[in-house]
Amino acid sequence: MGLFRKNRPQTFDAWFDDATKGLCDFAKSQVREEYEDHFATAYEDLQAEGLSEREAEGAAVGHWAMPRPFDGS
Amino acid sequence: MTAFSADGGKILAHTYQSEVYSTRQVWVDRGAVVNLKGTLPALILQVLAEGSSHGYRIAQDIKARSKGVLEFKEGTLYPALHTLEGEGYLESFKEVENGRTRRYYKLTEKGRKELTKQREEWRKLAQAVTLILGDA
Repeated sequence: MGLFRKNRPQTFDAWFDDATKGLCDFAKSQVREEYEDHFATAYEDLQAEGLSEREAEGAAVGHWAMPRPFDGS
Repeated sequence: MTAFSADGGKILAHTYQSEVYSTRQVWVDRGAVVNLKGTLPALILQVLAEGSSHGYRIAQDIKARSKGVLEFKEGTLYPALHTLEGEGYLESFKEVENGRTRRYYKLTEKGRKELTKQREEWRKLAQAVTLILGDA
């Protein structure tokens, strides 16, 4: 599985890229909006709690599971 | 693999990792769902029994109601939601809120019946385990 990171992605885009590897563009577009909304809301909440932009992004991504490759099963 | 099993024992072992129900399915690691011991679908149904909601709010509701005991990785929520929708337990619709398009989920009649069944199965399972382990 060399295509996938061993370490947790640090940004939403990196997380999403990993999580949707193997899906077609249409499928990616179907989930992107929903995931982005969740992430953006979490990011705003964390900033409201006093985290910096960078800390908030890291923490919001940290709340998500590690992406794993689509294996077609 | 189905979203729910009539067998209460199988509920504990359930994960979503090998399911593809819709083009909105994405893949996350196995461990995060297991932290909830397969109860995430039932918890989602319960939250949505009280009104339609979106993913972020559902996640916050579950964490808050369990007083932080039931932790799960938020990326595991959507595969569960999409699976429940694929099985007809939920319906989704989009709404624009503060300029942001948001997908909401609501319980269907089939989902309400499934929740009733899940509650009963959970009650039986909890009673049986308590018989063995005793009251805490």
